[in-house]
Amino acid sequence: MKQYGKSVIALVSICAVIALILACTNSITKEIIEENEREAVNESLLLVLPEGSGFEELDCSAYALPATVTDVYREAGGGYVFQMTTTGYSSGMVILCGVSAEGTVSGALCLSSTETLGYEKTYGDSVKGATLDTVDSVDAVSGATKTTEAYRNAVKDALTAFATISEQVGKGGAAA
Amino acid sequence: MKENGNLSILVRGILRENPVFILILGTCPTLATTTNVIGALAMGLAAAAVLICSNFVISLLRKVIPDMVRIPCYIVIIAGFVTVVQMLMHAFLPKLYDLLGVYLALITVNCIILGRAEMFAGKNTVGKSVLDGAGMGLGFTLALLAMSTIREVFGNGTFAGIEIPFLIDHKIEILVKAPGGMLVYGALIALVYKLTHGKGPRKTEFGCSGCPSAELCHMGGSCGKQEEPKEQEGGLGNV
Repeated sequence: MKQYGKSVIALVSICAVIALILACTNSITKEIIEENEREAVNESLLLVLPEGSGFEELDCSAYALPATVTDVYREAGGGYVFQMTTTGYSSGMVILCGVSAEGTVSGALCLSSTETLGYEKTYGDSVKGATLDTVDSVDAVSGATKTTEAYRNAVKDALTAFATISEQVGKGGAAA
Repeated sequence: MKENGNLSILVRGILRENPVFILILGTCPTLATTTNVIGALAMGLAAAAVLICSNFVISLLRKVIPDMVRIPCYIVIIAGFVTVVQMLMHAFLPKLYDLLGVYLALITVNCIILGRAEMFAGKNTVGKSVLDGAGMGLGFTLALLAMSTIREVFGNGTFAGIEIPFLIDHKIEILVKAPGGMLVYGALIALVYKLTHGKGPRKTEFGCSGCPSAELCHMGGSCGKQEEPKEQEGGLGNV
């Protein structure tokens, strides 16, 4: 019994000391990591909306947006960047799409995916300049139809979300 | 195994007892992170840092940690150090952190670290354990560096991202893929075996005390010897 007690005390003490060390390290690194992540998000936003500045994140729940839209950022000039999570050949394809103040796609980027062929990495150029009226006419890539159609639909969702938000902001319905 | 001086403890991890090529430990990160030199170097140094720190602490606490819970204690200590390295790398070297991805967290279950804790740090003084950790860490880093250099230079035509004329147009792309990793790994094991003239430590030299299955095993130290083939019993034949 004494042996068990000794084992428990040793293990609990080691866990407590390690937890303390981790807490100290976390308190030092937490803010730096958060700052790095903010910078990384800003860099990605600038890739899809190069002329954008002063990005701020909006609350998605304030608008009736398509289900694929997970994050919305607005820039000072009236442009928006939408992040969508969709399913192509497999689930979890994350797409970032920039929409300029005029309602055209300024750029699109696949942040992560588990697709097999890699077309999702380059398809963003095909949808550049598309509007809500013309996005359906962008061709899918033969051999990667599911991936590229899902990509195109996600971009269409971004343009739809842009139209919804613009309309509501125009009416002054939802607080930004 | 002979009791050696401090220098030989440090040096033996580099070639004679190289964890990757002789002890065949840490195969998963070796194959996964050696597609480029920078990633391999970062992985090697991160694992070496964890190895030195964990060997130090485990050796320091070897008389306090009860034998019954030694493995959970070692794992908590190793996982703690890995998480510290992970946090520091995430904060100060974010590009390398992204490059190593999940393999950084998987240092926790790297057999080299637990293996050295069990076989060396749990039985030796603090100074010797730190030297063993440094030697093994250096051996691991050099092994990853050698393997990643071959794979990146010939498989991708670059070295640390810098393009190499001629080779950039004549890539052997299989080398940066999984089968190429296995080929290079096998070739390097053969080379190191040739260089050491097959004088690496034998299985029986470790003894039963370093074996995690010692308490359950009834082989009595004969596991290193070749078993004679038994005659088949029963009439099932080749099933």
